[in-house]
Amino acid sequence: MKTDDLVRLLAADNAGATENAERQSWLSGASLTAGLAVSLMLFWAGVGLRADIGEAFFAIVRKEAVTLAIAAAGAVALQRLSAPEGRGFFGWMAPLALALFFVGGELASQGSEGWQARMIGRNGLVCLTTIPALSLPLLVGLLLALRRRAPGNAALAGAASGLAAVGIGASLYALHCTDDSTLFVAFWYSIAAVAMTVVGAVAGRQVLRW
Amino acid sequence: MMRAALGGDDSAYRTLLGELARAFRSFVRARLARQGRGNADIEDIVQEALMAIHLKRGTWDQSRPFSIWAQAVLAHKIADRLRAQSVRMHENVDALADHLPAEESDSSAASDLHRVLSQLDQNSRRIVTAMSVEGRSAAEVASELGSSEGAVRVALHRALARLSAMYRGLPR
Repeated sequence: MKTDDLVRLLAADNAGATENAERQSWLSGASLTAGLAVSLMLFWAGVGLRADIGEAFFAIVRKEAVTLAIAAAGAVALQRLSAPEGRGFFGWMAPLALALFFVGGELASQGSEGWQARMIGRNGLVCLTTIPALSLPLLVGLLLALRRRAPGNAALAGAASGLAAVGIGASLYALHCTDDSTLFVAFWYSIAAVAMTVVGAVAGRQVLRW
Repeated sequence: MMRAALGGDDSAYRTLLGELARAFRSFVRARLARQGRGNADIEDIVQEALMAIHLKRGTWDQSRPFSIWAQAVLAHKIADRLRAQSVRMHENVDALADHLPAEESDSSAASDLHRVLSQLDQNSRRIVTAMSVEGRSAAEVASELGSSEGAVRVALHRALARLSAMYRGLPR
């Protein structure tokens, strides 16, 4: 087929472009919402809030600051990478800096005595399985939404999805976990975050091609 | 012009695609020449990029310049093609000895679009050829096939999406 013929064919398919774009963005929103809803349901049904949520308020706020920063960094990166001309984004460093700041604060105020015990905590392995489990539905929703867009770099866009999803997953988990040491968060949460980012990148390479 | 096209101005859209095709062609030619490659793939890449522009034009953010977006889509398709080819070239080094005499084939019959077209079901293929090579309108094709114009339009749109997906599965 000649290129001129293809041009004629594509022009004949122009009708309904706006409606189609609207439907696509509605469907993206729907898959995103569905992913988030499944993650939330998993949390309520299988994980639940910690019992002493009132007393541990400040510890929770500290943990949420880091996890929500991760989610925000992932979301901003995703926004940029979802278009073909999208470029990389180094804002994901911000949660890292925040976490280091809290780690420094804890070491300064409580001393380094017994830091290994606090870092390893009691629920490390639970943390490592629960955070990915809570973020996975959201990651699937994000990737489905992203398929309807045109990310220039499939692996990077997938990684950003993984980061955003794990940020939300970890925010939920932080409402459950009773290990409040920043060292615990910096150690175990980071492993979960890196793992989900890699999962997102690998999955993105497969499903985000266009 | 893309704004007018998205608003339903088919002739503006056609003019735009024609201009894009010309601009893409010269860009791809320069790019492949710099890579030390022949001209065989130029038209395939141009066609694939036009198809991507068509299918993804709804995701273009109208507050940003269209030319940069279109250029990025083209760059994406070129990168895709070069990556696929470098893999193939490595594989072929071993196989070279088995295939010494390479036959020259008719370029239009060998084009990628032609190859994927033959994988479409008969009805879609009929609609695609009638509306492209023969240049007929959706209404004419509909009356010939005994279906409605809307149905032909929907079938065409689906066929284009399938063609684009098959492109990616092609061995190169």
